Amino acid sequence: MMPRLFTVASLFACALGVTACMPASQFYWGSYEESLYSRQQHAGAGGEAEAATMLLATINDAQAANAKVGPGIHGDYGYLLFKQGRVDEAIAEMQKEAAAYPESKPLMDTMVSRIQGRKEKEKEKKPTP
Amino acid sequence: MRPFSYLAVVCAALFLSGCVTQPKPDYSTFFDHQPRSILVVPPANKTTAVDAPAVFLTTVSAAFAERGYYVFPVFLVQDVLNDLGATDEGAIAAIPPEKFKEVFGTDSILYVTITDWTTSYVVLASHIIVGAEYRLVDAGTGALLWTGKQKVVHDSSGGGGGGGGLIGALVVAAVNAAVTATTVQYRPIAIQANTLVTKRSGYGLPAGPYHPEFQKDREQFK
Repeated sequence: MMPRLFTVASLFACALGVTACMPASQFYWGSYEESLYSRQQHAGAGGEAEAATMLLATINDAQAANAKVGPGIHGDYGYLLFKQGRVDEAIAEMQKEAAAYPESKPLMDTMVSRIQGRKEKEKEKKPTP
Repeated sequence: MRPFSYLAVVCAALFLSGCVTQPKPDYSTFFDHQPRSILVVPPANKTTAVDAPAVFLTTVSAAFAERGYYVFPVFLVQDVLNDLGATDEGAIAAIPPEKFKEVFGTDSILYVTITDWTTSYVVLASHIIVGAEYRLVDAGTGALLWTGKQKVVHDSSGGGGGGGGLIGALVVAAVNAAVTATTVQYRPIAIQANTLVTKRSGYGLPAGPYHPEFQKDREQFK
């Protein structure tokens, strides 16, 4: 009985403390950090594909909730798409990151021009018949 | 029960932080170089847990961004650094701050050193301890903008449950020990440490441009 009473009381105190001290979240995070962790745990294409799925779901959920995804999410998703060879989608995501967060524009521009450069090279290698 | 005990730790830390007396840090350099963006580099490690830096890196972004800053995607940054040959903490520490500005366009760099990443077993329970030191450096000038230090101790016995006297308690302890052996249990504690260190009134990170309190919280930080 005592422990339960204590739990309830401390929960109540916590709820008060938490609502008083913690402002609402600025961004929609979905499973961004979990996606990082899953990549960290499963290095390689499998972990990256799983992370990409998580990030896509996060982006869709944010859209449905009319919320702004946290910094880095479009950029990171774009980077994963690039690693999967989906270059056009990768570029689109990186441009979304730069548009939503101008602080990222220099890096996103560098990434996009590198990806485009690689795309050109691959075209030269394999001329379409 | 576990979420309750996390909450209890957060609350305890929040309440305790009100009582600690420490000289208030000087924020004038910070405000002179008010950053908009933060580049988190892979953490340095003072512990013996080899996987701590990699796991820790997955817990920093939201906590710092929620203070109103742009935080670069940490794994993309890590891969670019690897391409530049900076694959370990020594090589990363040796990169001049201006180089980060040039390569990433960042305003500031966050260096984290992990100081604690352990599970200590007492008779019937275990404590998970995560501690870290933080340095935020201006990428333009190399000036030190902010430092922080945080340690969070998670007490696995705090959740109660089990019941049934000593046998019950022993079972709980055994289960906890099995669970805490995995790295998953460190992540929530690391997230707490990162959240606490950034939010602490008068000591944390002043609100950045994406935060509604941006430039309105100066009273707290002087």
